[in-house]
Parts: sequence; structure tokens; C-alpha cells
Amino acid sequence: MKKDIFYKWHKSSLEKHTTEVDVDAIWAAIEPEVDAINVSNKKRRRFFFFLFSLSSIIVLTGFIGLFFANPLSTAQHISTDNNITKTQDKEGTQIAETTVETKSLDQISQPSSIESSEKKVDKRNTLPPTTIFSPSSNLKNGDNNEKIRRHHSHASTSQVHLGDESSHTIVESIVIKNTAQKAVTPTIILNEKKSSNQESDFLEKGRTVLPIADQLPSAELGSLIYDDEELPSLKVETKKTPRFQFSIGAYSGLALSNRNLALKNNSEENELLALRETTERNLEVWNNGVKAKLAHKSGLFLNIGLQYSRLAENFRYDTDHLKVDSIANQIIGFSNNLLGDEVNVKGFAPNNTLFELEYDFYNYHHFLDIPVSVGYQKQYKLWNFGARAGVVYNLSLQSKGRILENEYSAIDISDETNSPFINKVPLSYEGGLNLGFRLTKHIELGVEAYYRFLPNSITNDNYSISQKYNWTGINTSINYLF
Amino acid sequence: MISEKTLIVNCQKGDKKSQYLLVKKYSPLMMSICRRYARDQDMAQDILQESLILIFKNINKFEGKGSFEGWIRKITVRAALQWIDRKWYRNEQNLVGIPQEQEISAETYIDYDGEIIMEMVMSLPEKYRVVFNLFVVDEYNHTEIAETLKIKEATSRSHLLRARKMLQEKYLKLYNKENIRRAF
Repeated sequence: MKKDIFYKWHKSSLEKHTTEVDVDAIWAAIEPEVDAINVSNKKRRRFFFFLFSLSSIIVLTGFIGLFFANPLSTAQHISTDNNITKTQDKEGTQIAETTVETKSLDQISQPSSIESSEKKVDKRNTLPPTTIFSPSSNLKNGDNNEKIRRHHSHASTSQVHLGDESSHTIVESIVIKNTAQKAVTPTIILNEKKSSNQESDFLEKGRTVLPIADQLPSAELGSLIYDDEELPSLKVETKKTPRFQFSIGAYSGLALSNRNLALKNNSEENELLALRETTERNLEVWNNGVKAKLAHKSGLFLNIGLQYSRLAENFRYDTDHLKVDSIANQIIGFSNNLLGDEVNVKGFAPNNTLFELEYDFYNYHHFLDIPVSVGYQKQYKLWNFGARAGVVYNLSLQSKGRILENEYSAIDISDETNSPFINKVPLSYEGGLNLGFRLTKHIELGVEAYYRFLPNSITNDNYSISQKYNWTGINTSINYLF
Repeated sequence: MISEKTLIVNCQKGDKKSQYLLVKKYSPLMMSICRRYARDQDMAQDILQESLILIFKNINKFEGKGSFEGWIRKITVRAALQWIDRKWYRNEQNLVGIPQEQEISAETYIDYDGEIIMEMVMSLPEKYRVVFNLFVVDEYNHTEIAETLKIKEATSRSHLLRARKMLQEKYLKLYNKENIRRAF
């Protein structure tokens, strides 16, 4: 209907019209609810900030781990700072013969220089000072420093030999030389080549060394006797950890979904929105997948997999609708003509139809995805704690079931021509905290609490309502570690 | 004086002072919309509060595209419609005996006081008032009104005509008969 001047006049008058209100009274009435909204919005913002920060920290940690962590072995570490040579024994096992050249006695006797050197070694996760210099496993670092100083203050050159095992790298020999001091003192060989695992062997070797110590001047003997008491536990083993560890696994779990239905811009289908909100309810998300994991020894890992998620919803609608209509040219009555005959009176006959609508459907959205995530894990004995964050690339989305099209009918969302749902979802995000337990050398069981967030609507552009999801759930997994 | 854009951004951040300013700035306009749809002053006040809460809930969704005032109007109208019990529309039959429209000359209309017009519109029966407001002020067409109120388009048209007729009668009562005839 074309709007005439009557309507235009009313529109212009009413549009401009304002009514005085008691703002303070209104504000007082809505303030508690506004506060609640602010708190909820803040929580949401904080959550996303937390997720973002967590992801950033993980990525940064990963980069730092990759670029700054020195992947060299223990012996090589020492070699970097202290002029070390590395040799192989006949059996092919790695033997590190380490020569630590100290520059002067003064430098050695300064605790700060030694401590700083120790810090370097410790920071890079190499063989800790206790393992090189301290025969006793329960000896503290401070004791080690003390011992090093004692060595150098009494003997300008000394040699410490550590054994090598076939399956482990053992520092075979550490030769500590003082190049600054020219006076030559006898070399003390504590352990000549190989040592066995038996404690008695060490005791035996310790005894064989003693006569050499006896040859030293008496002034230097005191310190040597001190060392001798700790000789038996000189043998130190360090496990050779691989740089990368690869594992594959399968997982399955359940999650609770949270759906957000909203009108798109310029859409006024608020009735449909209200109908859908009241007739549909969220159910569970069933999640299954396989994954491959590449973990660096620094703790950083990369996860990639293939994942299938089934998001379930229930659509229930029960209503009656009376359709009022009429049919033309129907007999609607009788009358008698002048002759007394009964004649039909034709006209529009009412045709009311009562529609009883009853829907009870389970709707499913099937997601097939490739999740890619990075994370950081920390091993503690048999337990493994980790966190990860990443993106989920959707391969396909298939929807099955029915939803309301309007108050009187429902559409089949399985039919792609009618379905308001898209068949491929834009990038979504996922993060989780996981806990693993090493059952055997190769088998690990895991449990993960995860959160997935789909920032984009899964409905197409022509549909007036946007439909977004996020879900939180728990996955259990079994992994095989190579 | 804080700009509208800053006000919106601050409200999105949850700044209470800005939220209060927003209420202060837009409440008079919103109240007028509410009054047009509400049965009485109390209901108008309830609709206003509901609309304001809806605005603060959804203000993060406002991306700055289009007029903020227009967005507020839309939300207020929707909130008002939600308040109105629509059940009576379902059983509403097409009106019979729709009054014939009076001839209206395109003369300049008198600059009536807005409050008088508001009172006139508010005095209409609810079903006519809602259709009149939706069609005349909030620019819904009859198809949209029919969808929104779940009535037939024909019903919407007849309600509008009824509302118009009633308003004309009210104006006739209020003013001199001759003057009104001249005006419409």
C-alpha cells in the first residue's frame, strides 16, 4: 500500500517524538542485570584472552626450544666451552674424553668462574656437575665446587676416567689440566678405561688407584685421600634421549555443546528464531579420531590427525494449526422456489483444516576435520602433562534431520537443496589439557579435556539465522610410541 | 561531549558510565516507541527496561554498520512485539464492513503537538495500534506484519484501515469538524 500523506504525517510526528523518562529510576532498575551482563562479557573476553595467551606461550616456548636449546650431547657441550675431544671405542659406543683446560690457578680458585661454568652446563640440560665431579650421588652442587677447587689447588694436572656402557654414553675420561702453571705434577688416573656396572668393580678400581696417590708429595695427599673416599660412585650414566619421538594414537570422547543462534544483519526473522530456540535442544558431541604426534625432547610437540565429530540435537514440536479456507461454487444451502421445489444455493463453503503437527527428530551434524595443534608437554616419571592449542580444518559437514521452516512446517536438512546448512565449515579452533600415563615402553594411555570453538556460522548466507557452536569435552586416547 | 562511536565502544567494553550515558541519551526515544506499542505506562516501562537489557547484551554484535539509532529502534520494536500477547491474532477473522475511507485532500497538515498524536495512537485498540505502528512508523510492509504477528495479510490491511478510520474519528471529536475535514 502506497503511503499517503496521512501516514507520512504520523510517521514524521511519531518518529521525532520523545518521552521524558526518569533515567535514574530506569538505570536503578536495570543496573543489576547490566552488571551481570558486564561480568559475563568480561569472563568471555578473559577466556579468549587466556586461550590466546596460552597459544602464544606454547608457540613461543616451541620456538625458543627449537632455536636455542642445544641439541649436542653432554660431551659435546663441555667441548664447546672447554676444548674437548670426542672419540669412539672399539665397540662403537660413544666415549667422550673430555679435557677441561683451566687457564690459571687463580681463575680456578675463583668460585665465581667455576660457578658460572656450572650454570652453563646445568642450563643446557647436560651432564650436571655432580655427575662429572662428584662421586656421590647425593652430594650437593656446593660440595662439587669445593671439590673442584681442591683438585686444582693441589694438583695442576689430574685425570678422571669415567666408564662407558654399551647402551649408555658414559664420560670415559676427564683430564683437567692447568696450562698456566708449568710445574708438572703426577697425573692421577682414577679409572683407566672401562668400568662395569658392579659396585664392587668400582671399589676395586678405587683401590688400584690408591698406590698412585701414595706417590704424591705428602702436602697433596690430604686432598687425594678426601677424593678417594668418594671414588666408588664415580661411574655416572646418562640416558641417551632421542631428539624427536614419534607416536600415533586413537581417541574417542564426549562433549557438551553450546549453541548460539542469532539473527543475521538486517534479518527480521525473530519469530523463526524464537521458534527454533524453543523447539531444539543441544545434546552431546561424540568425538573420534586418529592422530600422529611428533614430540621434541624440549617438550614441544606437533599433533596432526583426522577427526570425526557428531553433534547431536533434538527437535521436538507439537502444535495444532487451524487453516481457515473456503471452496467456491459449493452447495451451501437450500431454498424453495415459487413452485415449491427445493433448489441448491451455491456459494463459498468454509473449508477449515486442522493441522496437527508433531515432530520429534534427532538432528545430527557430522564434521570431518583435520586438527593441527602444537603444544608443550612435561614428563614426570611415567606421567606426562601437556597443553595444546591449534586449528581445525574442516573437510566436510553433513547435516541430517529436520528443523522448523515456519510455524507450520519443517524442512529436511538432509536435502542439500533445502538445507540452510553449509557443507564445509571455515577454520575453527581447539585447545586442550592432557594427561598421559606410560603403560609400557611403547603404550601410553591418555585423557584430555578440550575445548573447540567455531567462530563462524554453519548456516549459509541465504538463511536469516546464524548458528555457531562451541563445545567442551573429554577424550580418552591410546597411543603407540615408537 | 563524548561521540556516539566512543560511547558504543565504551559500552562494548562494559564501561558503566558510558552505559548510563547511553541510557540517558536513548531512553526518551525508546520510551516513545514503547508507549506506541504498550497497553499502558507500566507495560511501556517494562518494555523499555527489557529493550535496554537486550541492547547491552547484544551491543558487541553491533559492528558500526548503519545507524546505531536505527539498530536501537529495531531492538525496541522487537522487544515490544515479544511483550504483546499474540494469541488473539490467531483467532482473528477478517473484518467485515470495513469503513470506507474518507477522501483526504492533500492540504498542509497542521503542526499538531506530538504528544497529542501519541495519545491518539495510544488510544487505539491494541491489535490496530500494533499494525498501525508497524506499518506507518516502523515501515514494515503487510507481508512482514503478517509474518511477525502470524496473521493474514488481509487482516493486517483491514487492521490498518480500522486504525486509520478510528484516528480520523478521534481527530474529528477533538477538533472542529469542519477543520478536520479540511485537513484530511
